[in-house]
Amino acid sequence: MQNLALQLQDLVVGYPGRVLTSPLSLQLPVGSRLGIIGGNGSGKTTLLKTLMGIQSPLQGSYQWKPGSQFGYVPQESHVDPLFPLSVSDLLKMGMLKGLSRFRKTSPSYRKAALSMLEEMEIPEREEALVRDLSGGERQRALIARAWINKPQVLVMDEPFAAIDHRFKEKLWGIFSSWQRDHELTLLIIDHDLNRVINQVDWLIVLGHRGTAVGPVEEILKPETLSHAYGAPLHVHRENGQFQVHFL
Amino acid sequence: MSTAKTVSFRYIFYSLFTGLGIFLVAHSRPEETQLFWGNSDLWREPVLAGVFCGFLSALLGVYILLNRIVFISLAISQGASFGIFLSYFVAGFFGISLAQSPISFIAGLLVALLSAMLFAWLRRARRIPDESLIGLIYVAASGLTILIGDRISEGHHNIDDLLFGNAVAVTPYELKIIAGVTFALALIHLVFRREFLYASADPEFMKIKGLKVKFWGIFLYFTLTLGITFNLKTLGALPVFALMVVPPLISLKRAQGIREAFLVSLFLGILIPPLGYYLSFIYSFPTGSSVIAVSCLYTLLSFGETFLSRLLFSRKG
Repeated sequence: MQNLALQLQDLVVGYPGRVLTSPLSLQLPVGSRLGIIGGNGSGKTTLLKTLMGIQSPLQGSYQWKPGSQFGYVPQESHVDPLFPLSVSDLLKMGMLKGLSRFRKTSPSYRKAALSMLEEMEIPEREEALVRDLSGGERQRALIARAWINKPQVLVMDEPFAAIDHRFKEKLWGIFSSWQRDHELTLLIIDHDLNRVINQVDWLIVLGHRGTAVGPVEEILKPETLSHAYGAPLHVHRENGQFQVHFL
Repeated sequence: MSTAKTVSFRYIFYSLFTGLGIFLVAHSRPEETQLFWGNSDLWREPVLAGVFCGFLSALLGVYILLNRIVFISLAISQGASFGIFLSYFVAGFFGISLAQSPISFIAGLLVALLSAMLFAWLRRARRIPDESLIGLIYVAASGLTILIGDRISEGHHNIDDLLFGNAVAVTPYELKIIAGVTFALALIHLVFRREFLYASADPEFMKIKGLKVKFWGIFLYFTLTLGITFNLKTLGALPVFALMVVPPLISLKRAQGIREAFLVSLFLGILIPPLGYYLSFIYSFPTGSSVIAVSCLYTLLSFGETFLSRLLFSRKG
């Protein structure tokens, strides 16, 4: 049997009285990249929250590989600005179980924190308050928090919001290196359709008329995507890169 | 500016003003001041009890402010009132006297705990604003207290003591209990500081990381209720409310880190009650009101602190 990170069986997500997806079934291998795309209000974040156990599915079920640990990058920081939390505190949230109960910091935390902040190019912001960071810095700090304890699954809800173009490109390289070294499974929501379809190997398309799930090559057919989005579109490949144009 | 420097500056600022206040009062009322220092056996236990209460209130108050639930202490106090009245009502029904019994206090504590647990459970499970939930608990407990209060004949004096505090009559035994509760709760908060803080700051993320957010929320409210109920008995509801709001408010206003927030809040929590007792003795004010007045005075002082700090340190950016 294949080494699966996640299995969906006729999973339907939404809220009582508001169904957001048709039944989703998927077998996602360990180390894959799954992109979740769709219009505003199509249920992308609700699907992620359901898979993270924050809310219950309306129907069907899902199963993660036993023992999987998760890192999560939200759309925006949920930390109340009233809390005078520093970036260092934020990182400690990501590796709570590895911290010493009585000491301020432990050597393992110091090493992991420095390495993460350097990778995110914000090493000088370790003691800055989260509320004082710029949008892009905050997003980098949230990615660092999600990855600091090297989870098996990294779930990201629009992680590129507020991040500059250069670092966006760099981030995909960083994700690749994490996947290469740690067999990381990546779930990502991104509004930039043409970027995400060229970076992932599996797709869930949540459209207003229906959903489509499967490997990218299978999903990126005009009839499948048109049906999901409910709009005519054109898909073509240029220099090995997929491009989708709505007509 | 580093945390150590900021904290030191804030400690020095408030210590200097406290010292100046004591000096000015002593200068204007020399006889009463002499009487005060000459009768330390009269106020030693109450002042020490006030210090413990101030410390505990300031510690718990940081969480209360960060969770944006400042009126929870009043709702919990009201829950305790209902429990106390209920115990007297039931005892009266069976013809039992509770005059020298700890049962009424235990009943108050239990109902206060129930109220807090109910709040902790509902606040994350339902989409009801926190203020509405707190208001609902407060109104329900107040209404029931008035209903039952009308039907009991015994123990109004004991109830007043339990609810509004008897700040000047703390026995060495009571002081030991207050010290024990303060030490136990402070130790719990030191050991589990990260769980309490992180579960409050970003519950969704911490739940995904495997932290039992609901459990830590309920445990936090459990400690809040214990602290509030024991403090009520010493200081009374309003002074406890003031000590839960003012030191954390002043501290968080300019805190550049969570450590600083706690250190400054605890320092102010220790500083305010003794000064309140001192002024109460010198000017014959009711002690609880004096503690509240001193809390307000420190709030005003905090504006001066902000101004001075900007003046001294703004160039460093």
